[in-house]
Amino acid sequence: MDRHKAMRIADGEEIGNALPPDLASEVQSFQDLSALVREAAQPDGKPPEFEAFFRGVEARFEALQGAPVRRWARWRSWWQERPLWWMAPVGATLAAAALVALVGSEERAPNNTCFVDSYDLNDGSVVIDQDLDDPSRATVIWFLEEG
Amino acid sequence: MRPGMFPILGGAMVLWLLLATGLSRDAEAQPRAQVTLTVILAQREPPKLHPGLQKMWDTLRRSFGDRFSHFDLAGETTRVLAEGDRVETTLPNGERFAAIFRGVTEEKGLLRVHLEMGEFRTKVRVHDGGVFFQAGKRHGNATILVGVRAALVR
Repeated sequence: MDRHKAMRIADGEEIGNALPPDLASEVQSFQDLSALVREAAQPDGKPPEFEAFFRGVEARFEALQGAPVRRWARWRSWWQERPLWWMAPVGATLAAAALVALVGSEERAPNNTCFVDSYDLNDGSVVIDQDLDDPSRATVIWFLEEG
Repeated sequence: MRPGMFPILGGAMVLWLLLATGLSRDAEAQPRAQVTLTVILAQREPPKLHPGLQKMWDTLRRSFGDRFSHFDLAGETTRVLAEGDRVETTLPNGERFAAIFRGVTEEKGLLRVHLEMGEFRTKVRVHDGGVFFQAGKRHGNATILVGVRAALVR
């Protein structure tokens, strides 16, 4: 109960005269605690030091503007600002490579067109199977024996 | 070096150049061809492709796909031939098959190849690297196909 009484006295809800020493000490400790809480919760009203902050930012900005920009950073910035300047040549190169690959593969396909100039046989018959419209198809010279 | 040596050296160099040019022309005038004979036993079925014929599969399929589905490799012979040389192989039925390289046509650069199989003779011209087949002889249930590939050696 003394503790509640000390709280009430510390908050000014109750008048405490001629308090016993232990209660007076309890009241004082509550008053000290209350003062600490109020001090922490209530700002002192001074604005933060933004001036110093902006002076630092300005100094750093001026230092960056004056400093030489690295070559890689300059290149990267250039490429990022002009995507068409590199996208167009790269696209054209890829298209040309695909075309060359297609044409090259066609050139690699052998021309199997075969011209049969003559044949000579004593018996049997010969059938020449070929498709002159399709040079990739191999000619077949069929030798058919009699019987 | 005495100044009188210069005409002699110059003449020697001109002679050497003429000889070298003449030799290279002679080499150009005698082309060589790599001729490969691939002997295949083909049947209608069951479907089979010998691993050694995988590189020829597209050609076989396009040329014989409607007749055969079973292709077995019986042998392959390759030789580099000068004009007049021949490459020979023995077919599974015991007959000899020969291809003779007869040079290159001047106009289109086609390779002249003569074939001999028993009494049967054929003369053909093919493009560089081209393939053609001689077929029809029987061996058991199979038909003998001989693929002939001729390519210039550069």
